[in-house]
Amino acid sequence: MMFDREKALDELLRFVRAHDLSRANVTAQTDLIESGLMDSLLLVDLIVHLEEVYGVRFESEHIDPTNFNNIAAIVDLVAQRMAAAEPRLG
Amino acid sequence: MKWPLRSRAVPNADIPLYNRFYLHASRASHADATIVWGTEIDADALQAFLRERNRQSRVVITPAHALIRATALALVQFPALNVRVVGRKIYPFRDVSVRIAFFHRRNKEIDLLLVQNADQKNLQQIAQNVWDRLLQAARGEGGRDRDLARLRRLPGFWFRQLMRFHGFLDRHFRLPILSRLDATRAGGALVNDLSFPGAPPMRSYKASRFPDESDTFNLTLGPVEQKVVAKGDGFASVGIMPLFVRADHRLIDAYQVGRLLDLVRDLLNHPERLEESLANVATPGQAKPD
Repeated sequence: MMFDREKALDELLRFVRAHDLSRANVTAQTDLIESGLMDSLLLVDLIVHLEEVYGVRFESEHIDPTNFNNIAAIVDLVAQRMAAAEPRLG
Repeated sequence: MKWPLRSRAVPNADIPLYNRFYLHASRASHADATIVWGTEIDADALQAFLRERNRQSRVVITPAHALIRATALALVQFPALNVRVVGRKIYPFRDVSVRIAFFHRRNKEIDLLLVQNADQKNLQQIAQNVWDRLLQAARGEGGRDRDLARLRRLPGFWFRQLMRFHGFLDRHFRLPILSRLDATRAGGALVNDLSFPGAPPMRSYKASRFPDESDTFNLTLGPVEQKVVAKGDGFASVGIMPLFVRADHRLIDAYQVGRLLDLVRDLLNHPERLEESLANVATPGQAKPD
């Protein structure tokens, strides 16, 4: 699957903003952890959503603050996981 | 097969008379042994600590993980609360394990997870434990989720019979862990983190008690709100979080509840102490390290 970073960014922003009213003004660079907007419910919902949409799997060791502190970082993590999951031809 | 409770009950001579008064009250007396106490913690200190830790940590640490650790440390200091009433007797738990309620995303209902030996785990280990279970639950993986699905399919009549039968045995006999579903009985303390974004200010909260009476006490953390307080010669706006305890007068009295709550509050107000070894956490009433 070709990974479109901009599309993923838009899609994830919509997902987080729709989660509840307190996150309506989140941007790609909003620090979700420092601002207290990332709670366990949103984090787990995000992971399951990413797994369903992008077909990659996350383990608890991926729940690293640097991976989830903003939407842009989350998109980077998805790109990394997809690259790691791609079959190596060769 | 694991026995969560020690084999010897607390001797009657060691149970204060007033607690025994509640312990032996007949159901017809409708005696209410519930004690509730609410206080506030310094949310600014806890949030600053978590921000700092999350800059260095390999796993996201939340207020819920801090609450589990603080509760475990408090249970070590107050072993009188790390117990369970069975029949008219009080049995100590073998380990210091803490239960936490969480929203089961897949089933859209509340479920429990147990952090075993929470007193021997640091914040990162507790966080890792909790995230593992939350991810497992969200995907519907694991034995417990398969058992929950089976239990949900039981017709009302059989569900009621099963609950009554298990409840009767569990309330009257010191049972081993019988299945994956009742593995959470291995800890008598239950914590709730209700500090999620968008939660309304919490003025009072009394967590319900489970029908099987397996949760001896409950600690609930509420959402952050701003409050104006006197500071020095002036006033300042500070963030506070409510903290409620629900305890059982059969086991503990209000004085002890207050001391336990003071210790948990102190640990959350000075969260760097959550990372200290057990020996360094001051017993309430003793001088606390600066």
